[in-house]
Amino acid sequence: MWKKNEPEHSSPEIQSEAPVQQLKERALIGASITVKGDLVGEEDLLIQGRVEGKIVLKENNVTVGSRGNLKADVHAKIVSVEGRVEGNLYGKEKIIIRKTGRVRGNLVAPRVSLEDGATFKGSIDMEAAKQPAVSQPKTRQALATPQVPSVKSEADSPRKVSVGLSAEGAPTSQR
Amino acid sequence: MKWFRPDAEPQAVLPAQGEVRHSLALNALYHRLDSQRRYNVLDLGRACSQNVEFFSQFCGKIYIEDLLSTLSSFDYLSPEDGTSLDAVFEYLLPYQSTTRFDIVFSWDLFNYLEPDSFRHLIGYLSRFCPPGALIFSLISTLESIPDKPGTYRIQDSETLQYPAPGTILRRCPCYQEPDLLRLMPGFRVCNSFLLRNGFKEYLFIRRR
Repeated sequence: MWKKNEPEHSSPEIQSEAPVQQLKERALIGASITVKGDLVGEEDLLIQGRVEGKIVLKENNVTVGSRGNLKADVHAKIVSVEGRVEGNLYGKEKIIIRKTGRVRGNLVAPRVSLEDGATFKGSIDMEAAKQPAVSQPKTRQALATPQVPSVKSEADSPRKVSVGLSAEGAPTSQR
Repeated sequence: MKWFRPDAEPQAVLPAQGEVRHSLALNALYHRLDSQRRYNVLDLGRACSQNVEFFSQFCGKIYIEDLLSTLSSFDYLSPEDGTSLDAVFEYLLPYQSTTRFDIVFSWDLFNYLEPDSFRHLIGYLSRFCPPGALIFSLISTLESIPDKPGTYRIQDSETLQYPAPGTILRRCPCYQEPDLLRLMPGFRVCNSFLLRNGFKEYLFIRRR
């Protein structure tokens, strides 16, 4: 009994686990921080701020927190989104869009989880991620921007137009 | 001039769930699929986990658009500006010319579109639909429909959960089959089923 318990208090191996645990803690980009450029690293990352560029943490997890706002492509092992993302997400293992998440872009991962309430527009490719070479889809922003002529009004401000209800479509009754 | 009927805002809250119904058209669609093939699916409705899960059984790639919400919040283009409907759809649905849709789920979207928008949307999508491509659609035969389109959730290959009916209604165009075929040149009706709730399920197929 005495010998069995001894390592728990004296083994240097077990004592050394504490710093390892600390190293595995994820890095944080706080809510007041804006990053413009590429992020590359080898630790998990939580983003509550704003990032514009590219995030590459292929062997680690990236979480876009509820206050996070990304205009970026993300490459990670697991990508989890609770905030807003405009860009393409590449998950080596999985992509999760939580109920508060709002994503516009393309998702490439072998598994994609979309919680009820999440807002998503774009494409989901679960096949390409299973293949060794992943072809990168064109971003929606890049595709969308040049195709329509500038149509701002004379006052150079967005004009509210007749996209609303037609006379026929006006509410007619309440159930 | 009006392009679109709806005035729907993106729903921030989780939509209430409605009745669960047997869907013969969904079942017909499912049984047309070749288990050895992967299909590209375009879902014009709101993103929904059950639907994605269902599509993933046979899909290579899934495109999700929530088109009606996009159209409703699309307030900076108008016919008066000289912008054509084709340009609008090219802008809103910016696909590469090589994109192919084998199956399109339009749900109840067509009930909310003006005929002109309807025809242009189909014309635009036809560019990406090869012969044999399928469109799954729910057309209301009732005089009134919910003010905003809802989220339809696929439970399994033959069961569909409808959205909660809602309280505010609007008049419905009640498209009949000849109207639909006129607005959808290049497609023919593959299957249609009238349901007790007043909806008619359609499975359209792109002609060869």
